[in-house]
Amino acid sequence: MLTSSLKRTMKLILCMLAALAAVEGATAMFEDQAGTYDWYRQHIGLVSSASFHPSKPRVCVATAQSVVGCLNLRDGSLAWRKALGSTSDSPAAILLPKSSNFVTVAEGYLRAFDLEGNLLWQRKVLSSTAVPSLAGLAASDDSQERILLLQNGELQLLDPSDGTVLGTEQVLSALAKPAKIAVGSGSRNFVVTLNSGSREAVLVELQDAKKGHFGRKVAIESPLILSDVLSASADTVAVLSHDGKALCVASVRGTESAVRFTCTQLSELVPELPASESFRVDGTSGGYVLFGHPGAALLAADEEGGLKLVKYFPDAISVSLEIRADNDAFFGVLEESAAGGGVKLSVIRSNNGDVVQVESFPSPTASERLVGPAPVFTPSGLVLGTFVRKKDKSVGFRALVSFRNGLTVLLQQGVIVWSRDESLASITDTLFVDLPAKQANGTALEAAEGLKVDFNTRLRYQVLGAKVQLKLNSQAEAEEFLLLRGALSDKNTPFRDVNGFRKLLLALTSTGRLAALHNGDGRLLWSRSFPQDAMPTKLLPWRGYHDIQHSPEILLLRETQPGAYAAVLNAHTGEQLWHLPLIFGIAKVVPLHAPMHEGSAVQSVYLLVEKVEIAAAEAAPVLRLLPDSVSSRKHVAVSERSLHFFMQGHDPRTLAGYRLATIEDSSVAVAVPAILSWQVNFADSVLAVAYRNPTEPIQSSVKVLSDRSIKYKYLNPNLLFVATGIANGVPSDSVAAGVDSLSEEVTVHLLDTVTGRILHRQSHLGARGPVTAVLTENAVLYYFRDIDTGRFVATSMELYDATPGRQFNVLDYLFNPNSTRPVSSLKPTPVEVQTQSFFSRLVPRAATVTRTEQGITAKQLLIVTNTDQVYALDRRWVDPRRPKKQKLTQDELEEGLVPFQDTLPISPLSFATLDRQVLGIRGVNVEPTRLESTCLMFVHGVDLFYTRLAPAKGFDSLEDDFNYALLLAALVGLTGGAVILQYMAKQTSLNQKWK
Amino acid sequence: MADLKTWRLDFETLIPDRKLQVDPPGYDFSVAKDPVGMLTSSKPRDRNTLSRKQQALFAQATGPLKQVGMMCFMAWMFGNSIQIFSIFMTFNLISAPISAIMSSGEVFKRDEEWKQLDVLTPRLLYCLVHGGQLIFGLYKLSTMRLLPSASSDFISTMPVPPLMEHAYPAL
Repeated sequence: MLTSSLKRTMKLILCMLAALAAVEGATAMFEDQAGTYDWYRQHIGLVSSASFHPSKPRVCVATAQSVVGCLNLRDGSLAWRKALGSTSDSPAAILLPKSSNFVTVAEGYLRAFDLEGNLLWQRKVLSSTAVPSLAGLAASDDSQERILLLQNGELQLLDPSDGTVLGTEQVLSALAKPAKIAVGSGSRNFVVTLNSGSREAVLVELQDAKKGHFGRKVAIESPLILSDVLSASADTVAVLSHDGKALCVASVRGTESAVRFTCTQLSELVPELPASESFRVDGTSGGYVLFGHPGAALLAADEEGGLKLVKYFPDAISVSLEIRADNDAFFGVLEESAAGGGVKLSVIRSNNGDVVQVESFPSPTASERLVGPAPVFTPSGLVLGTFVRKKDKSVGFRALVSFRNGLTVLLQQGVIVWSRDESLASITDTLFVDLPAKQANGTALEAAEGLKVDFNTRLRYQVLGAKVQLKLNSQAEAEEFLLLRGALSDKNTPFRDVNGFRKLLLALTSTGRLAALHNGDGRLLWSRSFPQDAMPTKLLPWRGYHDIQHSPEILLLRETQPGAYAAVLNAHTGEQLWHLPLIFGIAKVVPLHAPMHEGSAVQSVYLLVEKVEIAAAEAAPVLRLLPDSVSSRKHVAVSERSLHFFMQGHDPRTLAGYRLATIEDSSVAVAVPAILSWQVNFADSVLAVAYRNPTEPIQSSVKVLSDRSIKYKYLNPNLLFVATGIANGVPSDSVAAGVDSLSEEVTVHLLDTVTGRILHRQSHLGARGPVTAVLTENAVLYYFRDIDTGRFVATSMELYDATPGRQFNVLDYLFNPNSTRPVSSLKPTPVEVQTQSFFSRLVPRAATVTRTEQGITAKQLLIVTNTDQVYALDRRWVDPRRPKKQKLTQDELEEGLVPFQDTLPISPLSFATLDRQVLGIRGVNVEPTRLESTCLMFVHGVDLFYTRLAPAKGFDSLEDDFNYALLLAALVGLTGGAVILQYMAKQTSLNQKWK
Repeated sequence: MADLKTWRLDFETLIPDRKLQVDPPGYDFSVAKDPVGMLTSSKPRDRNTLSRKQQALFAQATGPLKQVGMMCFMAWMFGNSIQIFSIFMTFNLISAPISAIMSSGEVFKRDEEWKQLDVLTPRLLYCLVHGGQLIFGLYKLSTMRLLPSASSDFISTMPVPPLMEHAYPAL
């Protein structure tokens, strides 16, 4: 048994040992240590739109992760990038070629950047849920470039140099959906827009783009209901009909007479074109390009609005917008090349359909091992650009192709100039699993090409190390030293180690890719791609083994119908072990705590909440077990005598708790109905919920204060923290006016989720969301915004069991194995809540907590900040017992209490992400290692960051760079010295005797 | 009285300047010096010697008192903080009396010639003095919070009580 004094003694001995052994106990990191335990990958996101700069080597992109930026055209490296918001919407972006302004609109702001990423200006656009439409107006001989913006039905003309509004025109009234705008490409400037689902489009002429005068406003009527797929050529406007079967074209040449759409059925126009859900219509100078995934048709439009098929491309998988070069207009068509699965790029002259240039490209190859079916390269976008050949000054074409699987490639002169794999910028789920053991043959990763290092390299490394230590090195030598250190360290070998530092990191992306990364350097070991209609949505552990012969297994779930399935994969090889189609959609996945033991295997058990139809939404949810076998039913029936779960009600302001009907110990797989047991309706909307990770290890259930009194922690795992208040984003006039800010409040509740009983409730007046909360052990930390000061407040709560007269008997505890009685939520114990609030300089976006093997190590709270960093906050800073005096007593000092300050300190060395910015953090995954002091942290967003954390410093291990050679040399020296001295002493005494 | 065992001559004893260390067997130095004592009755001499021996024993028993007091004072001066010196000090404070008490039999040997000599009382006194140091050492240990004397010292690893019901989040 480990008594507290024994623990203290042990700690003391450890401290002494550490002081003796590690001469330089590092608290912070030195510059040359960067990159030893951490790695960092920068991404830009899944490219949704791109444009080449006509003269400078830049290609500017906007991505689905709400990031805009420019890539270097030569090698595809990042020139700059900016995250425009937290939503995962692609921002609308246009690159104005003449002024080199990259104009974007996202989250209520219209911003213009230059090619180096400097913000030129920004302008607030009317806040609305609809994303405004943006279009650029090209410069002509007598006019400047202009920006057209459609916002809430109002058309605005802006000057791109400073963002001033030159003119406005109300064009649409009732705006249900974001409307698109199309700009005429000819000499006559006009803008057309429409409400999707109506029978008329609105055309506005631009009289004077320089001064911002809008001209005539004409309504164009249509015989068919129109969709929002619209485009404009030089003199005509084309809109796809709502059913997607007809193309309606109107000529805008006749300025005086009323204009009407004439609709032509697509089947008549292009008989070969297969029917498609989503057609795209792009205007060219003389007509339109109709693209129907697959198949594209070049149509010519005459002045009266009549359409004629010029050329049909049956194999087109992507088409680009029209570009101008050499006083001519071209567009690109991408086709699958017949041989070898590559792609073929054809450049078509748009006025007559002539093929100007055809080039074939090989399909991009992956560096990692690909498992399963070969990845499908479906292009999602094609942008054509031009370059001037050095040889003969002729114009050549290059193309930027973005594929659905996250790959972006630059094609030029028959080769892939560069490719960027951006799929890891869209990670949705991550999981750490053990690497194979070195002894376990057969399961070892095949991609395990260990670096072979010979003796000379090692010698060179030692020599360089000595040089660097003595500061005799040159810059190149220092770099070589770092390189060799990486190569010689064992952190990259693909086998598990004793301390559990080396792990396999599995990541599921929203592009339908499951990638296995080595956590040592983030390289990909294998990856598996899933087709669009079978993309898994959840990645969960399935089966682990205690022996080293078996590989761990992982579960992939596709929750949505059609095509819902559960599949189990070998985590080391990626091979699929079995695949089970599900007949129901999954609304929620509930992992059960107690794993099932089958021999040496540890099987995870899940409850799947069936997705219900809207009509049957009032009915109680139905659950299914996964795996649904006799043994798993038996296991659940035994281990979970009373199973409850809770979920959000139909109203987002309600929480409902359900009890599960007894799981029958039967052999037939049946769905288990749930019975409603409680329901809580909150007055305001729910801002945040937090609950304890049920698998969190807890070392002790008591806290011993310095006066040796005992406090029992309130460790009910069925505890739910709910913060309610006015919903985020709801504008409040009273706040703006500064009146009556106290009427707004954030209320926090602590609920018991078995009974729905509210155990504690406290309100903060004059507070607003967003609320960020984390619940660990018996402590809650939550952040909210204080309206008066405009600062964020961190409130810390610690919960203790306040049962009166609770006594502790040492003898009973030592000798009576039944002394710890099980507790029940149905017999609630009174809770004592200690609370303290602090101002926080950090603005939190999410929070989690470190986790170690046994839970002995002090925990750190990991706060994701709005600056895309992760801050490791020691729990002692948010201890509610921080005394409100400067002079602390001996007891308080011994307990590690810190005097109270109203603002939480911020230490630059406490950022877990070091000096990196992990753009758009969406998840922080913490994994314990076998060493109690250490845990691993993987942060993913658009960027990826991995590091090793030691919340209480490495008290149980020597540093990795501990000099064993020196220790050995010292020991050998001491032993040798002792032997020599003994011999000398003997000689001396003998000589003395002979005197 | 010289022992027969030591009746031995080395070459070193033959060095002329050296004083001969060994007395011949049967030679009693005190008798040789004080022939009167030899002649008078042995009783009063015995009583004197006995009381002197007894006194010496008591002096030996209370001898460490000063040293113990010094040690305790030094330990008190070091304070209750846990440092390497105070740890050594406290360790010494506890280990020294234990070893002294253990070896007290050696210090207070029963003299076969003087059966009536009281060895036990001085030995107990000696143990008491060292026991005092031990108690102070333990007190010191307790003030340094290294002694599991409170019930809270046994509770820190009390496991988390199991729970009857489980409610799983499906949010």
